[in-house]
Amino acid sequence: MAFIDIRTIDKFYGSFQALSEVSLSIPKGAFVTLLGPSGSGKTTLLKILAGFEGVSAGQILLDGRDITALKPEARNFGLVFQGYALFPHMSVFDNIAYPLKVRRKGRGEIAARVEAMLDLVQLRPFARRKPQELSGGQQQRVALARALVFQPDLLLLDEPMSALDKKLRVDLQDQLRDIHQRLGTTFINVTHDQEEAMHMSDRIAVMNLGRIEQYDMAHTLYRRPASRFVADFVGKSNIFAGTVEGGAFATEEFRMALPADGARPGAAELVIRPEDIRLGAAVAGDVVLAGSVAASTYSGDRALYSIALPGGRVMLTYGSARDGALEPGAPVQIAFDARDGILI
Amino acid sequence: MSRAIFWVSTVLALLFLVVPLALVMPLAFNGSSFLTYPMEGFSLKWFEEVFTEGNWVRAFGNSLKVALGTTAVALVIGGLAATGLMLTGRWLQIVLTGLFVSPMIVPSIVIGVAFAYSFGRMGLSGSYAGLVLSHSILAAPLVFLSILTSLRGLDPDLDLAAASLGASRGQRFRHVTLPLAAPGFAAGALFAFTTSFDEVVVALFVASPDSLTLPVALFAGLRDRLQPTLVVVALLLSLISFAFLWLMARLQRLNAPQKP
Repeated sequence: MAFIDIRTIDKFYGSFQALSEVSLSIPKGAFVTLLGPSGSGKTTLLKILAGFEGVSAGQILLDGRDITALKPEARNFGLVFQGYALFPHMSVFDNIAYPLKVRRKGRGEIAARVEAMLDLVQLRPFARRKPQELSGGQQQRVALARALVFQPDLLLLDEPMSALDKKLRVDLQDQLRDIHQRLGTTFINVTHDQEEAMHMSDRIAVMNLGRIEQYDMAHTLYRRPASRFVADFVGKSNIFAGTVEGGAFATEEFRMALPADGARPGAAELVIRPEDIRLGAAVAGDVVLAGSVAASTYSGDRALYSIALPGGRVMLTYGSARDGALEPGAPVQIAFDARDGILI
Repeated sequence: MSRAIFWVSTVLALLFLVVPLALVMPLAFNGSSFLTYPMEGFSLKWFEEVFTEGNWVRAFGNSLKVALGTTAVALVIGGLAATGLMLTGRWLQIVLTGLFVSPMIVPSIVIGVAFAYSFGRMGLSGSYAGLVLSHSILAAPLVFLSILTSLRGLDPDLDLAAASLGASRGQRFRHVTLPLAAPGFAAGALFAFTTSFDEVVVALFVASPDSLTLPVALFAGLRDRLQPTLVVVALLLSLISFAFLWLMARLQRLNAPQKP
């Protein structure tokens, strides 16, 4: 049975529907990310889980118990805010001790548990400082320690990395994943950053316009997107609109035989990931197209090319950049294996 | 040219504001019993008279008691109003703010007459409680506004964070809201104290000869006998107000660097 069971939740603000029929079941100890652009409803769902917002319809079960109407303070869920929301008048130690104090724990137990948390987030030397004397990354870890010290049933993270610079973000992602593995607490993270989602989570729920588009493991999401939105939002992709008929996919630029049968005839879209495209080389059986370099983005280890096809459409692909990137305007040949195409 | 205009107008405005006060103050040390220049020698005898004469000391004591009582009552009323207001919706907030602030807009003479009349019927007229209550009505809007400003400046996520950590509404108020909004509460208390301490109009209507406050005694003294004692009392009142002004400025500076 699912540990957290979100059942067909609707949420209206006036006549605006922020969530429609959202259902999600999360096993105990999982690390789930709600991924979506702004306005997709992911933050609304998090607020509902935290108890800050009510639902218009539906319910939330925790271990089979209905908690939909429970107040935030009665839920025993940890929450890491986007802006950390540390208490500025308390030291780091007192911030972390706060949830234990309101639970009327003994002084000795509080000290022991706070110190264990300080060790976990590597902030023991900073215990006596005030939050505003710490860097953004350190404040973030205090917020994390404070949200975990009372051993919550669930940890909610509201875009916890958004205020940090990129390098720090990756470090913290590693730490967060490590802490998750060590404690075994169930984590729900909200982000619009698909790299962060892929990096940390066991499962990702991609949200769009108040609905869950797909709820799967990162790999499945990437290789088997259930909708055009998911294919487009998760990773880079080349999407061709066309039709399926007679076991083949036809579009303006090419026609290819579909490897697996069972594709329904009619309008369809084909997704090809940039890394599945071969630049300047082809293997027998490949779909081969000619074009020219329209633009290139050099990133040291490789270059991302936009290749313009004669019809005017542009395709993304990666190329080796050992000897520098290709010049714009250079004619190139691109090829891909029909089996790498994803039909949606 | 524009600099010249700036300095001339500044100096003129300052002269207009300060000279009358500055001219009166030295008369507190006048040797003779007249409020006129030239001064006839330097003397501290009027200070001695103020500190030894029963009327002045009693009036000062009354003022202090009333001001302290007003501070306590206005702090509770204004504090509750501001804290409660934060929990309501946007439209209700606008309406309630208007209502809570209305005593500031009604002329104090109207309030004075209203209290004199209704306290007379309730048997409160001339009493300490009557004075405190009427001054509290005048002071509560100031307390309310200063606390409200403080509360509005708090990050709303702090309260949500405390809730998610398991704190009840009461715990959140005591542990998070109150300490962080404390400068607003302190400023409100100072406002209440000074409002009551130098209030004349309402006190004229409500006070009895026994519960005379210092400003009312000063006002009465102005008609009875024009003596340097009046200037001494005025000087002391001003010094107290200055002290509070300075305290308030200190508090504002403390209030500023709260946000990380």
